[in-house]
Amino acid sequence: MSLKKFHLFFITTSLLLMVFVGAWALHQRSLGKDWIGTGATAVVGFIIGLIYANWFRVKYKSL
Amino acid sequence: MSSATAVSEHTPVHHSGESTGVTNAKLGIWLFLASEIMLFSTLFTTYIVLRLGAASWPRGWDVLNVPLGMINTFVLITSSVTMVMAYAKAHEKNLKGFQTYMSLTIFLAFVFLINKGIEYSAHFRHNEFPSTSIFHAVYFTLTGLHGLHVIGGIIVNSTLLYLSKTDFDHPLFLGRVEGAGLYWHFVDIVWIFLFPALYLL
Repeated sequence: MSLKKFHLFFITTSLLLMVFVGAWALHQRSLGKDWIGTGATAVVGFIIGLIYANWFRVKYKSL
Repeated sequence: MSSATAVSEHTPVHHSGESTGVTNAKLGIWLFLASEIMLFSTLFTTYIVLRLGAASWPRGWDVLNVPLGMINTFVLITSSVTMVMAYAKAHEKNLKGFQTYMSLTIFLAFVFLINKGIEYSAHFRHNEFPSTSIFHAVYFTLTGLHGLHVIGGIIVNSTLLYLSKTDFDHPLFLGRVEGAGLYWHFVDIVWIFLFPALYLL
């Protein structure tokens, strides 16, 4: 596997982590604990990660 | 044409050690990463077995610093991005770009270690050591071993940064950067699994 493919795999795993962190924040909310900061971080991280992955795929097609 | 000439013309000749379809360097780094996967898998399995067998187990978010762990997660994800950018710049034969992104990768690795040091020192101030409980033993073993791998990555990346001054145009240099990049991504991906397993579950 090339570094480019491994990087895309890594970004996908990171996006899945953001989904997990988002779910964890919702769980914290159900427990009445502070959750907004973590939840917002997960959503922002997911959106940025998705935009970056698309940009990287297009920009470095020949890498 | 003699038969000896015919044989020499049709016998496959493998250049640059690519008889397996990939370069020897890439095959070597993947074999190394396979052994690393086995090492960390064993420790993860140990963690699962100990946790399932324990009468009680502390929640990670109650005893660990989740915001700092989260910051470190983003630091490592960003460092993987800068690492692949360094590789892209090396591919484009852009020395300045390579050195900039590689320096950023090394800087982010140091940021990760400093944050980890802050976390560790807080534990030590509260008299929490590997011998305190099984949870702490698992936590310090997994994060400590991961930290050692981060230090290894800093050494490799710093060496490549230093060598880029003289060896940037060497035909094997790009392959070395790719190998270092694969290793660095592996180290980061281990943290992607460590963070939720230790801090959030």
